[in-house]
Amino acid sequence: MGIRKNQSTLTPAEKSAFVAAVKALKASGIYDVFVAQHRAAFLAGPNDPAHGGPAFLPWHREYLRRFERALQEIDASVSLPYWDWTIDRTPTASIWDPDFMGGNGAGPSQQVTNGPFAFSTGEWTLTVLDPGNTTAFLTRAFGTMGSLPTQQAVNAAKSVVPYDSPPWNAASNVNTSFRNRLEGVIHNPGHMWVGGSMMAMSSPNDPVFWLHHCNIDRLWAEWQTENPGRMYLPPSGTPGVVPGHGLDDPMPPWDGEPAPPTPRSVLNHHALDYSYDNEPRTTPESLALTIGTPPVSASIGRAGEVDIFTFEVSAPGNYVIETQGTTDVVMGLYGPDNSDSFITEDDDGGAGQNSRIARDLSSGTYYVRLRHYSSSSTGNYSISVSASAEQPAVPTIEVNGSAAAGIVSAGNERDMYTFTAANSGTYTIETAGNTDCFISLYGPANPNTLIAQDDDSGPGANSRIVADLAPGEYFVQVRHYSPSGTGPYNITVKS
Amino acid sequence: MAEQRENYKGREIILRPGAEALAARGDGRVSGEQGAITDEPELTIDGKQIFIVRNSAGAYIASGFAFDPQQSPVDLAKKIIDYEEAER
Repeated sequence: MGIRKNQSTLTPAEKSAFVAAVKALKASGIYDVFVAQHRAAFLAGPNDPAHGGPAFLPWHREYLRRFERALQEIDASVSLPYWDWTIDRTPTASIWDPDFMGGNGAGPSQQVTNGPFAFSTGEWTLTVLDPGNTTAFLTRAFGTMGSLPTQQAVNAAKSVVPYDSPPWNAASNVNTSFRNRLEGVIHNPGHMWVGGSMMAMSSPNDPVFWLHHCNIDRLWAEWQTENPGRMYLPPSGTPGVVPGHGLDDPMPPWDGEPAPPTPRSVLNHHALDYSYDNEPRTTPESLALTIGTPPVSASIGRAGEVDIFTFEVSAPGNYVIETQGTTDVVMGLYGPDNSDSFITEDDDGGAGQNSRIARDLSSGTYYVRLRHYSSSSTGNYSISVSASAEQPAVPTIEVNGSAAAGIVSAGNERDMYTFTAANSGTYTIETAGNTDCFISLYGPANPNTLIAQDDDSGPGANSRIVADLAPGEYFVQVRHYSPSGTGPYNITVKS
Repeated sequence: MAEQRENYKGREIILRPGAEALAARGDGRVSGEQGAITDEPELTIDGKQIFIVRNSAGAYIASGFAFDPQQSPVDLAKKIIDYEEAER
């Protein structure tokens, strides 16, 4: 499996091998095929399969992997490096040295005049250009159009769940769409900071494109690790979603291939035969917990670390998993007998900033994934599992009955309700009050099957979902629009 | 929508609505793409046509300016002028 490294750690020989392979691809004409694919995606406008929608990350993962494989056909030792601009963020950073990417543009033309991709080498003439552009040399204008993303901005982006949200495009709310936040707030500024050729539809003309997108792909992989079971939205067939952006949609321009890639097919980057140099080298070991024994001490020793625990339930019943200490942890519960089968998640349901999950569990093996609320923080905590707690029943909303009153009392708190659709028909789920709620509808019968989400379709900042439902039990999750927001609300279901 | 003219930093921005741009050109082609027929508005800066295209959210991007979508072509033109000014 190839390991994608931080470009700042590459040896001179590794840099040289990467540059040589890129230039060989350019000489063969294959490089420009990749540039043309990227340009064509933008020129599709509202039907762009690669930008401004949920498939932004899967499309570029597939695109980068194909480019990497093309490089490896020239030199099997080469992997794509990534550019961590939260650290290497100045025009004098080594990435811009003449032995690697070359430097900034110079003069009014902003022409790059040094390094291996300077026009004067005779080996880097731009032939695939944006409509109307005839500039044959690489251009850059560092910092002219904004700043590079900071670590703080990256952390904020990585704290957003779910993966995406309606309207499933560039207008998706950046507080409810990890994808749009990563694309619009983190990725776009990277292109704009480099400037020149990197601002164009044909931006792969600048080889730093690959290093920039490699870092975006790395951040997505980290988000996936921190949010297992919440991998991708929306399902194929979701109304209003551009073709190519649904989970099982074939992604253009590869949709004519016998087994075309889909967003689902690229969710696991390890299955694509690469990893990143800052990933744990081995599968993290899990620590077994015993129900009813004293809390076990543990720690988030490294930023971004995810601790995994298991416990065995032999007798069905109600169980409580909770943490103790002063570290703000987030806990996810998975199972039974499947470490990827998401059950529920909690941030601050316990004392202080501790997590607490109380749940009726059937027999089997359960998995607890625990991380720090902040992906850049560490800290100690302890964790325990106990049996026979009082199960906080999921409140029921009576259809066409009085409103259920609730309160989001802590940041990231999610309140779950259930209601029964007795007949097929159109149901309206709506919040009322002054709290900016965000609601998600799940079911039937399965509280993990997402049907719809809404932020502000109701009056003011209230949420409203209107859905045609078959008879069955449904679940409504209520949270604040802001990850740190709190407040009271009422919720009703009407048919 | 009527033709819109605006001076920004001494540069002239003209936005013609799609139908009017088609009539003025008489050939049904929009700037940039050869042969593309559309009623998208036509944007010029100092008489030079700027190829523009809408993204999935209805915002505009331009040739050489794909990563900072703007809700209106005129705002996009201003961004392009800002960039060109900074280059000097």
